[in-house]
Amino acid sequence: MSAREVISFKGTRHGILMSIVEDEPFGRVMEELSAKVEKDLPFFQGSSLSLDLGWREMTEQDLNELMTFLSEQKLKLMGIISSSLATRQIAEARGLKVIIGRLGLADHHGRTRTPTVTKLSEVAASEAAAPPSVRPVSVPVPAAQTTVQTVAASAPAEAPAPRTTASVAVAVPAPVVQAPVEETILIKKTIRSGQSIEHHGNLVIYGDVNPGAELKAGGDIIVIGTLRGIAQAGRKDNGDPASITATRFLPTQIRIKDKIEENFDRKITKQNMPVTATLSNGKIEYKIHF
Amino acid sequence: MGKVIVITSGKGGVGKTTASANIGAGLAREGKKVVLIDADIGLRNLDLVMGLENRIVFDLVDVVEKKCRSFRQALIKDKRFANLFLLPAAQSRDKNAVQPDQMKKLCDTLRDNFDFVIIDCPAGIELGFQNAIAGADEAIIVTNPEVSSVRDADRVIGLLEAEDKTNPRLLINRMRENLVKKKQMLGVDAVTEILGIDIIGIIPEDEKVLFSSNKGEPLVMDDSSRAGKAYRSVVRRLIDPNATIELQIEENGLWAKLKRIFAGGNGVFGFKAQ
Ligand SMILES: Nc1ncnc2c1ncn2[C@@H]1O[C@H](COP(=O)(O)OP(=O)(O)O)[C@@H](O)[C@H]1O
Ligand SMILES: [Mg+2]
Repeated sequence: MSAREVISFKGTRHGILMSIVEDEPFGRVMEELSAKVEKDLPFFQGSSLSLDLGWREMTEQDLNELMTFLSEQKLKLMGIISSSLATRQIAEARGLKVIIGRLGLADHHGRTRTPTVTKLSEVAASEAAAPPSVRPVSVPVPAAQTTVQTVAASAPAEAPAPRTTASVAVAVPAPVVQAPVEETILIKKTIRSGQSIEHHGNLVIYGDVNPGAELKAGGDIIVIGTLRGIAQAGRKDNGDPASITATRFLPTQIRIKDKIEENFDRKITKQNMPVTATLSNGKIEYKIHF
Repeated sequence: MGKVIVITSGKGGVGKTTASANIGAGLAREGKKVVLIDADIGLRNLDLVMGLENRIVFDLVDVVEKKCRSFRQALIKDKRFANLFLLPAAQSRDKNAVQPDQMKKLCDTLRDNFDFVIIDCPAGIELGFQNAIAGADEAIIVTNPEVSSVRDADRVIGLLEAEDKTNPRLLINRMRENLVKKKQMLGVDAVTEILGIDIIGIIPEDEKVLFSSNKGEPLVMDDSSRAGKAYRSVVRRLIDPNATIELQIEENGLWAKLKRIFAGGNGVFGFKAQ
């Protein structure tokens, strides 16, 4: 890894402004922070701090840990600057002042990730990943299906396991499934209005699916992000079950096989929890992963 | 070396031309050497908003077609600032009169001669968009806080990404906080949550915008105007990315929420980069 600064500081009229890069694990941020504070204690002593968090999505636990650390060091946290609504809400609930946006001090990457497409099922894929930033992304269907790879999709807890015909019981904690999996692709990108992603196998989107965007998959769909657009799963009519999972589930419409749903119970969409939609006895059913 | 910034949107009428004029004049006011390019060919009106219509001799198309000696001959010097210039659009020509490689070349030349090159671009749905953005280093997307405008802005961000222009910034224009409160208008949170890009500023609805366009005087110079002040903070952020966004706040409560969000400079929670 490069030696880029995880945390940078700047003295201002209103105290110290601390900027944290967005894409380092929080544990690493805390390590770095305690190292810095320890090293330059006199500089920090009794200061007021403001935090620039960029697009980082903090959990309540992260914020608690951070605030506990700061108060132990007798540092006063004045408020945060954040582009992430989730982070701002958590901070506000703790009585912190918040400013929307971010400054340019830290090495930020924003939520507009460089699009990447990865095939989960084929490591030694002979064909290159789909071209970057092409809309719509359509991935060619290989004529003969090569199979068998471990797919450990980083889906939320209890997300549907990739469908199996012959599952092998493995005595490890994580639900590792050895299965003849069809092509699964991972797309790291925000799918925006007017864009359409179509794939014959399973589709994993690491990013948001915005209103006006569309996903079409032969198999399952998993969105690690907010699903606001249209998602269509199980287009391949092979009798296998199909599902749609999103970490935030606010779709305009979903389709699983031939069933269409556009009116969602607020009980489902109001929760800021991952949801899985499956087809069961000809009806779409929802499971909220609390 | 200067920076080429394109100002665009999903559809027309959201405030691109107003933004180009005010940002250009605001940067000039801060002492920067600025050229405004009206790349909205056929819909030319940046010259009107700048009050420079009667001075046009050559235009953008003449420059790329080498109908004049150099780009300098087509530049119109602003009335107020000696360091602000306009390269006007052709009124009658079609939108594909300037090709992407010609635009790139022009931007390269201007980049060497100015601190900022601001391009008033056609909307993403319009012809000529691809041509206008070809030479830009950065993009600002103007949107109104309305569902349809945000949806179109999202589309344009996608189009820009496809051209490898990946970190556009968002200018929310015509914000009316009283309507946001009544839930009749999208708030800043709702807009940024969907688009997921950085904000460069928020401009309130302000009837002075219309008056100033009619007079041909960008209102970034008008100290009593809220929109003008908001544009000045955009300008500060363009010059120094570490400047906090400041928004002029009316004390009557209309802007109470924005005060909370953008409490820059009023001592509540704000700091300026030093
Ligand atoms: N902040 C604002 N408050 C009030 N009116 C505005 C504001 N911004 C723009 N307008 C008005 O909206 C109209 C369209 O603006 P313009 O800049 O020409 O948009 P575009 O270039 O995107 O087509 C103009 O009449 C302008 O005066
Ligand atoms: Mg215009």
